[in-house]
Amino acid sequence: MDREALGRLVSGASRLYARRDVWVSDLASTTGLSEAGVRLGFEHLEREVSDDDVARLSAWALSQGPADRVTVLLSATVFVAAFRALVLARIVAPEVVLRPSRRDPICARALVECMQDTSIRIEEGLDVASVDRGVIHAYGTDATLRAVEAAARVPVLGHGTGLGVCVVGGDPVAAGEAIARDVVAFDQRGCLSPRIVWVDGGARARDVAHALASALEASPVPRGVLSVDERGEARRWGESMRFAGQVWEGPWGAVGLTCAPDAVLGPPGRHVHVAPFATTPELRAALAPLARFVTTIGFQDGGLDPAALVPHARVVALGSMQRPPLDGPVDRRSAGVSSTDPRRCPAPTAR
Amino acid sequence: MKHGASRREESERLHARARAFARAFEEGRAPPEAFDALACDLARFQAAYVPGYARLCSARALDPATFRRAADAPAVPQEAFKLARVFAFDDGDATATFRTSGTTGAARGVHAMRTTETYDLASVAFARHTLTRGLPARVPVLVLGPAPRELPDASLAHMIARFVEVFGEPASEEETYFVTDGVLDLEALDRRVARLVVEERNGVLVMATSFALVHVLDALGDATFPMPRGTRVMHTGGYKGRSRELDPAELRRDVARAFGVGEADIACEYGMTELTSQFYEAVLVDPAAPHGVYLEPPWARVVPVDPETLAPVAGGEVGVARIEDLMNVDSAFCVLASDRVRSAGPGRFELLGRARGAPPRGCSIAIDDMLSSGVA
Repeated sequence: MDREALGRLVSGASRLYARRDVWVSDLASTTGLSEAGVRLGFEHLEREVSDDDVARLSAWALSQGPADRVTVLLSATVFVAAFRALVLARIVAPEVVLRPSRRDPICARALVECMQDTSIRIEEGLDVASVDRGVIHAYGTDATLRAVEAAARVPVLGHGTGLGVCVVGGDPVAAGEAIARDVVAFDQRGCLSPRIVWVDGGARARDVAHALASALEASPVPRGVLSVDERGEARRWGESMRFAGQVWEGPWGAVGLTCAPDAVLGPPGRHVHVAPFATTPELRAALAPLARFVTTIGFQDGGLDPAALVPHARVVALGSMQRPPLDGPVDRRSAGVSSTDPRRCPAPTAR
Repeated sequence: MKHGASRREESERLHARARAFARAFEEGRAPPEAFDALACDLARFQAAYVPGYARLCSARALDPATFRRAADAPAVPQEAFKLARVFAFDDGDATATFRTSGTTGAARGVHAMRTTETYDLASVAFARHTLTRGLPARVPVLVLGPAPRELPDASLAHMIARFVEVFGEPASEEETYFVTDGVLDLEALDRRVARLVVEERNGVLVMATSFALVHVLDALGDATFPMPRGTRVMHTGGYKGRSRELDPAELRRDVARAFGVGEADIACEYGMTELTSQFYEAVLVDPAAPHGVYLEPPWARVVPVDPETLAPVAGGEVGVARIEDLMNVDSAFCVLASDRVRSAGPGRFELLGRARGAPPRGCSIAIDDMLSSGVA
């Protein structure tokens, strides 16, 4: 795809952005974000493309190889992610078929309308098994991706769910304020959203937690609606944090602080676990079990190489986690499904 | 926070009261005191010596001195066992430390015990009433799992080892445990079972994790593996990615076919590292009871609570399991599990599986997906 064609897609995004008021209310109900949260989300819609972006997108497309058609299955993404998904599909194939999310189809439909690209068409309710050529780009949970892979007759490029983490070694107040910006965007519902913050030193961790809680409380963008299940998860997580340390909480969300590096994930919806670390090996050990889910590390100072912590993750400054360059999938992991050797019976450590 | 020798003495007194429940049950007597009385004393003890529990109480402005019923005391979420110490004694006083499962490097919940005597007494007493009811006092025991020395920090391995000692006929380790270094030795199991069949034995106890049974089924394919008459199969634990997953009815049906036993002789045990007590499917003592309904011992209760308010739900409604375990003397007498349950009448509850969690409304990973992957 040439620069001009890409420019048309980006222009489509700009048209969508210009008309965004039309969709704010509906998007608030489908996404659970507040209307202010939806507006903030639109600010994260890519509306410009640089020469560097074009070069990197071209490199990514080359790595994928050409396809005569890409079928895009959107299941679980933040609403503006439909744009990047369409760009990535269009850049490798002259024909794109899009099946929007059943729960949240608004932005994808509006984008296709605004892009005015006849090579992109929507097919609601598309049956995966009916796709007989090209490749499938699937976005969703692990379970969704497994189901797509099981049903598909063509290659599938899966983009699973994930999370962002932060590593802080500098000014705690600046860190707390910057992390709050990354948390508020999409109410922590994106795969780049920070859910856990590791801080170099216990005293600094307390200061970061306090600053983060203050910044979240002061955010002009109200939190959206939590589902019943999320409220239950939040209560349980809050009780765990309270047992193990301290919690700041309110209608704006919650920040939990514990005194050891081990982390427990809270639900999306502005719940952040702040934990201290004393040494890089300690941080590495705490991160290890989560590493395959980590898409992005928000980083501030500290005497360590953040890129070495999780090699596939993007490393960016705090406050910029939700604004990755348009250089390929936001999530650089590759999807895979594990297999089990029936003769191998793992030890019963079920408890 | 109180300290000193009085803490140990207080713990000993509470253990003695807890064990009295198990002894009374074994002897067919009524419980020695009201459940709530011991529960409240345990809550007071734990609030005095477990800082996290004191914080839970004070966050709700609860004074443990005023507790009158078990329900007055807050529950400790299972996840807290991964984040903080949940025991009311000094680190050096632990005689056993059990850890929850998890992928390599993942935070694992820790349940340390100052003594395992209470655990052993209660688990054997309830298993004798349920799991081995109707079997000869000692039977051949076949464990589809490793010997306890391979897993010294697994409470399940500890419990099974006790059952082998108490309910098992004398047999070598090789004739009892059929998983070594993570590999199931079907040939050794076949040899032992063949001998038992030739000897026309009546009554065998098989203990396994659910995923170990799936590995056996997968290895057998369409073949069968007939067990001696009177074989009873206990299985427990989830799958956590260690095998393909079968729903309980499918697993039961396939195991019944493969082993040649009746489905009523296949029962599930429900337990967890964070608890001292276990629960067994009621079908073991009541053939009319449907699978999925579990019995409570007189010293433990499973209360369905609303996940958000943590208050008990109305009768018959589904809630998450608040488990009150009087044998958890030195840790947390009340644990908030992540399983969905429903009351099934006095002393019984229906286990409906792990709460599936909130479906994602975006691409941020859901807690449930993380748990399913084994990262607890």
